[in-house]
Parts: sequence; C-alpha cells; structure tokens
Amino acid sequence: MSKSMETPLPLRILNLILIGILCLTIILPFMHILALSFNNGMDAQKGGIMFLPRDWSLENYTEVFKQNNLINGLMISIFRTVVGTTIGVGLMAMAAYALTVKTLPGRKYITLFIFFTMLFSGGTIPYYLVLTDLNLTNTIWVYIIPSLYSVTNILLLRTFFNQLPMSVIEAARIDGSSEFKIFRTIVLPMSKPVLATISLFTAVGHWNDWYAGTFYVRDEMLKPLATLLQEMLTRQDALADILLRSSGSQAYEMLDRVSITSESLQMATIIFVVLPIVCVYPFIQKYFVKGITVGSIKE
Amino acid sequence: MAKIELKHLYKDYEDGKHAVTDFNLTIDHEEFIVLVGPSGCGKSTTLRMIAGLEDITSGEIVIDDCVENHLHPKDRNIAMVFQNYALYPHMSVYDNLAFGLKMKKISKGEIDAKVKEAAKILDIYPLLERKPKELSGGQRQRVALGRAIVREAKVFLMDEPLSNLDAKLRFQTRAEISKLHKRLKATTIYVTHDQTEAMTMATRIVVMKDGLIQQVGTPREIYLKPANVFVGKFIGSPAMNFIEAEYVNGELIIGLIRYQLPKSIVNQLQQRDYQEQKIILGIRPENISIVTEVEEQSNNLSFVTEVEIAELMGAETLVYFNVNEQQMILKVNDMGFYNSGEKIALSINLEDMHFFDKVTEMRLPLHVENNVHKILERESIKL
Repeated sequence: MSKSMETPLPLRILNLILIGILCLTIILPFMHILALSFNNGMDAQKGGIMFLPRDWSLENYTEVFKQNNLINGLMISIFRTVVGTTIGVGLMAMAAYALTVKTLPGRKYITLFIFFTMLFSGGTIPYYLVLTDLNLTNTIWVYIIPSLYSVTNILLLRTFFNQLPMSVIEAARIDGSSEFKIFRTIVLPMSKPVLATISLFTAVGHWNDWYAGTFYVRDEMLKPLATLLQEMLTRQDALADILLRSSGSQAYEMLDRVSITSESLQMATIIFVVLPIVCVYPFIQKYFVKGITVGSIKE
Repeated sequence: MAKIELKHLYKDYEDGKHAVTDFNLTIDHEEFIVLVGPSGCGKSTTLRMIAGLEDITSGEIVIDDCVENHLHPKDRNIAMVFQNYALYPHMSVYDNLAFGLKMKKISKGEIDAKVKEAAKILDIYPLLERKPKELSGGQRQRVALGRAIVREAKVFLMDEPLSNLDAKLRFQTRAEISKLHKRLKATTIYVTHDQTEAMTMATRIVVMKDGLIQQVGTPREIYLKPANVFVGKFIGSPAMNFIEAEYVNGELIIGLIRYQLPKSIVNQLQQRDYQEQKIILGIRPENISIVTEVEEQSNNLSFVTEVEIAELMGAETLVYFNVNEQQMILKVNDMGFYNSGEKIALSINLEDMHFFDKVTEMRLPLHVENNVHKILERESIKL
C-alpha cells in the first residue's frame, strides 16, 4: 500500500482507542468474574472486589469439583462437542456446497425449504414428540443428531462458497476431479476461515448447552457438564432459600459459617465452563485470516 | 492432437440472450485457432462449451469423430488455461502441476518425471516448492500453462491467458506459447480480444461479434480481405479507415473529390445492380502515401488535405486528417515532422481499396488484380 493510501494517524489512533475500549469491555468482566471465583463467597457479598481477590479461597472450585458426575459430565461434553461439531460442520458444509452447484436440480426449492425452517419452527412439544418417536430421548444422540444442521450456518457457508473463485473449481473439474473430490481437496482447504468460525460457533453451542440434558435426558450418566453445573446452581439457590426461610438467627449463623454463596459458585462455574473454549481459541485463531485465496487468481 | 468439429452450436440463456448463434467450424489436427472479438461476442462461451463447462443449447461438438456434447469436462481429454490463472492457492507449484495427474491415478514416479519436465520447459523448476501467492504474475501464468502441459491433453483451450500480464511479459509469453505449440503440436483454441495476439499466434483466426462468426481465415486473409466493415475495423492497428463515397456513373464522389473507377470495376458493380448509391470505402492507414503533388493522370485516388495532428510512435508516425468531414489516419514509416494545418498531397492505390456495401456492410467481392491476390496466392502455395 502506498503511503498516500495509508490511514491518517489521527484516524489510526481513534481506531486503536475504539478497539481498546471494545477489548476492555470483554476482558474486564472476565477479570472480575475470575477474581470473584477465587474469593470467599461471603466476603465477596460485601462488595468492593474488582479485579483481584480480597480473601483468597479455592472453596468455590472445590465445591464445583465435588460433583460426583463431573468427570463423566466433562467426558459427555467433550464427546458431544467433538463429534457433534465434526459431523455437523462436515454435513453443513456438504449441504452448503451442494446448494452452490448450479446444476443441482431444484436448487431454488431446496434452498427455500431449508430457509423456511429458519423462520418457522415446530415448537417445543412437537419437537419433543419427534425426539421420542425417533427414540432419541435419554440417549447420547439427542445431543448430536438434532443439532447436525443449522440453517444460519448453512447459509453462511453457502455465501462463502459462492465467493470462491469459480475458475479454480472449474480447473479442478477439467483436471479430472469428481464433485466430492473438488469439495474435499479444493473447496474445504480454501474455506478454512469460515469453517473455523462455524466450528467455533457450533462447538461453543454444544459446550454451553444445558437445555437438552435437562429436558431430554433422565440418565444422570448421560448429562453433560453444562447441565450438571446448571443443576448445581439451582440446588445452591434452593439451599440458600431454605436456610433463609428457616428461623432467622440460626440461618444467619449457618450462612456465616459457609464461605460459598450461590454467586461465588456461579463465578467458579462460569470460569470452569469457559476455560476449555479459551484454551482452544489460540489454536484456531490462525484460521481466522483473510486472503486464503491469495495468489490463486488475478483479482 | 485432435480434429474438432463444431456443428451449428447455439447457446441461449434463460433471459433470452443469444450468446452464440449457429457456430460452425472444423479445426484440424495441430491447428492453432484464435477466437477474437470484443467483450460479450461469445468467444469465451464457445470455449467453455467445448470444455464442457457450459451446456450447449443445440448443435454438436465432435472431437475425433466422437460426439462430446454431454461428456463431463474430465472425460474430454482437454486442458484449459484460465484468464485469472485459477491456481490452487493452498497447494505448492509442484502439487498444482501434479493435481491432474493424481486424478488420473498415474504412478508417483511418472508424475514426478512429468512435473519436473514441464517445470524445466517453462523455466519454473526452482519454484516448485513455492505457493502461488509467492509468485509473480508471469510465474503464475507459467504454472497455469504447466498444469495444462503435464496433462498431455489432445486439445488445449486458452481463455485470454495473457490479458493479466503487463505489456513486456505479454510479448514474451506470447512467443513462448507459440513455441510451446510448435513443440507439443496439440490442437489449440485460444480466446483473446487482442488482435495483435490473434495475428501473431494463429494459424487461423475466427472473428466474432454478437455471438456470430464474422470471418474465418488465416491472419493474412483476415487482414488483406476483411469480410465486412467490422472485421476491417477490428483487425489492424490503427484500424482501417472507412469513408462513405457516392457511386455515380462509374465515379466515386467523396465531397469535392471525384475518382474515376477503372472499367473492370465499373462492370462488376453494374453486374451487382449498383447504379447511383453510396458505398463504403476501406483503406488501411499504411496504404495511404504522401506524395509531392496530386497525381492527375494516374489511376490512384489522389487529393490534398490538411494535417490535423501527427503522433510520433517511434520509427513510424501516425498522421490524422479529414476527408469530407470524416477523420482518417495514415501511417508513414519515418520520423518526419508534420505540423497541424500543413497541406499534404495523398495518394491511394486502387489495389489497396476495399469496397463494402453501405447497407449490409459486407465486402463487395470485386476482382482487382493486385498485391493482395499475389500475397494470398503465395500463402496458399506455402500451405
């Protein structure tokens, strides 16, 4: 870029300030949550903690790890996240690519059919009945199969694929590639940025989903981490509620002896749930790059 | 090498646009055919139909006596070079070249040998490990050519492969493609909008406009005997001059200029029922000579005019002037000084005049024994 085309200095400074503010709005709450999770719960209720714990305590995390099924829940969460994301993104990418092929018979109608489901859903009860009829409830597949496709993601992928240089795909076609080989060896490697984005969305969705575990699964051994933690929070809230309703002074004495509050437990839970995603992010960050097709075609 | 027959090819789009209309052409083994024409004339569509990348509305594509209308591109044994290179960005140059061979399930050793040989031919051997983004435009286009070479296809299709290169590189690569064609002897169909490329590379040129073939011929035929006004305008730089003239009683009248046509020409025009009507006269800029004075007695069309502007192009000069309020250009092979407003006497030989019908803009096939015939006769003997 020539010097005259560069962004003027004041504008660059303004950009930096704005991006800095945006970063702070994300980092500061996270720091605050981290500080609260490592602080004594009762002490934290007094307020005044910002980014550093005042009364260091690991009890919140100890309580989180006391859950019997926690490791099992973690495994379920990892399984559904890995398997669900891999199969889901793979299938969505295939569907999206098929929708970009002009010779696909009834392409417009298929697109409309898919798009329709984004605007109108069946509702919770019909959805539940479908899951029951398919014998998916109370199985691990209730986490995987219903979330194999997302219309939004398919449309996002389709838009990205449509922007890939057609001549590259045609060159592969002339070179003797089948459509599936074109998809696997040309389209997918050129689509790393969008695949990384969709994978992250899908993986976070799987990791954070407590709803399916709560309503469609009864077996405790099949509940994912998010559901277990959500149940733990509900129990903690209920316990505090019961204590407060019992005879006043006794309750306050009991609460004084307890260093965990529902809020502090919530903070530890958030950190525990978010940590794996935070750890994974740096490894996929490199795919969030523009210009993967540089050099392929003359722009 | 292959023989290609394109029979009554049509391509119509859903919106009713006719991209290609009744395209007929037979291409012989080892020929280098150039499809040339302005943007939107249907040349790329024709090429894509041959490649199988575009369905044909009707007609037949026959390659080596086999109708290939509905064959998948990969089954046509063709190689194509795209205008924008179309390299696989995530693969190294080596893998780009090897991709087509891998698809054919050729052994690794053979792939390696073929890729390295092509890389040596194209002088890209040291670049084999690089990614396309690490190459210059010229190098990328060589890789694209290499990808076609390694396939050893029987037909090469090239869609404006030089249009993204700068002038110097284009000149070099043009010569290299010609050399490559002589070496590989593959039947080649080359699409361009650049008439210089067409003239320098083709064994035969197909000039297209609005989806229709205007003329098919060797570069000499196209240049010396353009089939219509469009071809005359499109081929040649600067373009052929066209001037409206009135044909009355065996005379051509252009404003104040009167030119008596020879009897043989008058007879031919009368046979075509030309009486008193307008015709278009075409004259190449290099066929207009500057003379010292108007040649009253000669058979040449001779007149005096004023220099409007002169452009020095290096070893040659373009002189702009007006005749009967119609601008014309002449080209002289010298670096002379021509001042605006300067009076000059010009002379045009009858042999160098091209006659076109005013209404149809088609060439009037008048027989004038001239240099054109001699040149074309020499060419046909050579062929």
